[in-house]
Amino acid sequence: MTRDSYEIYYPVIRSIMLEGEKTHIKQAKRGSKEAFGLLYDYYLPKIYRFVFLKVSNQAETEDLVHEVFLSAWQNMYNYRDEGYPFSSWLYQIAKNAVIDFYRTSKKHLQIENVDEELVKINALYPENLDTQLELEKLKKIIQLLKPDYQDVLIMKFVEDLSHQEIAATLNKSEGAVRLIQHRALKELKSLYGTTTHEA
Amino acid sequence: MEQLLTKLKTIEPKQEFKARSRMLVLSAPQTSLGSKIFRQFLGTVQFSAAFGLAAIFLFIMLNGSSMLNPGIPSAGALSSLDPEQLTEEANNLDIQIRLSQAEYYDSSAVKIEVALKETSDELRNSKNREEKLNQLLNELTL
Repeated sequence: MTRDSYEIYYPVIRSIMLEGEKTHIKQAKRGSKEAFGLLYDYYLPKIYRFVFLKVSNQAETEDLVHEVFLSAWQNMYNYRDEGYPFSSWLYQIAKNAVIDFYRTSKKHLQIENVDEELVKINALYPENLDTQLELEKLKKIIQLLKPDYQDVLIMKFVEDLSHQEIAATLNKSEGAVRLIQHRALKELKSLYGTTTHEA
Repeated sequence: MEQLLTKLKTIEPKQEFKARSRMLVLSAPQTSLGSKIFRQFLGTVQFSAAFGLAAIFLFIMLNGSSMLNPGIPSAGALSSLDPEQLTEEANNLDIQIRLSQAEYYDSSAVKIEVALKETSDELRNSKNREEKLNQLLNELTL
């Protein structure tokens, strides 16, 4: 599927998916483990990536992601369908979990603390060393950005969320999200260029 | 740069983690709104009880019982008492008790006499009532 056809069909596919999702959410709210299991299977990779790109350690990511889904399952009655996808609610839980993680562990990200991740990204691109290194560098740089910049970049380019969905998740206007995206990309490019020159 | 960012989509959780976490999440009990409210209520009750007990403890510590009942001397007052003065007061107390007892007997004798008289009058009246009642019953039956 080309980028153009993807942009045309994505909203249609997404709306069909959301209809099915609503049924699963209703059932999960009534305590259906099967329904929540389906939501879990669908959203786990997305939430995992979101958390993983914000914290450096894989074990910490797994702990946080587990907490996010456990919290979501135990507090399903709190979820209100206000026209936004279920993912917005999950991202909000994940975002708060990451904030709490940094608040309680008093950790500050430093570029040298991110090396453990190399193994995972390498495994995904075993045939292309350049891509591996590029992605590793990109991940490190993302972690140096402001939390809002990280959120917008990950949601927009990694998770393909619309500006409307990002705005709902981050509790901001669509205009503000576009502005953050622009600034975040600019800063990312600048940092990426700087580290390339340094290397 | 945007294309490079999209390549991060390939990051996936390990299958082992996925299966373990899924099982643990789904085996956890789902809390309901009612149970959450009950837990919050229980928490409030616990806090109130702890706060109340602490308040009572502080009240006792700060001689609150002696403020409520002046008969109970406070710890502060007890420590400030002079033992010699207390002995002297105790000696004088004996005489005062005897005097008050005599006064009591004097005044109570008159009161007892009056009370006895009233009781005997009542008894007499009740005897008359019984006689009348018997008389009426006899009339009715005969």
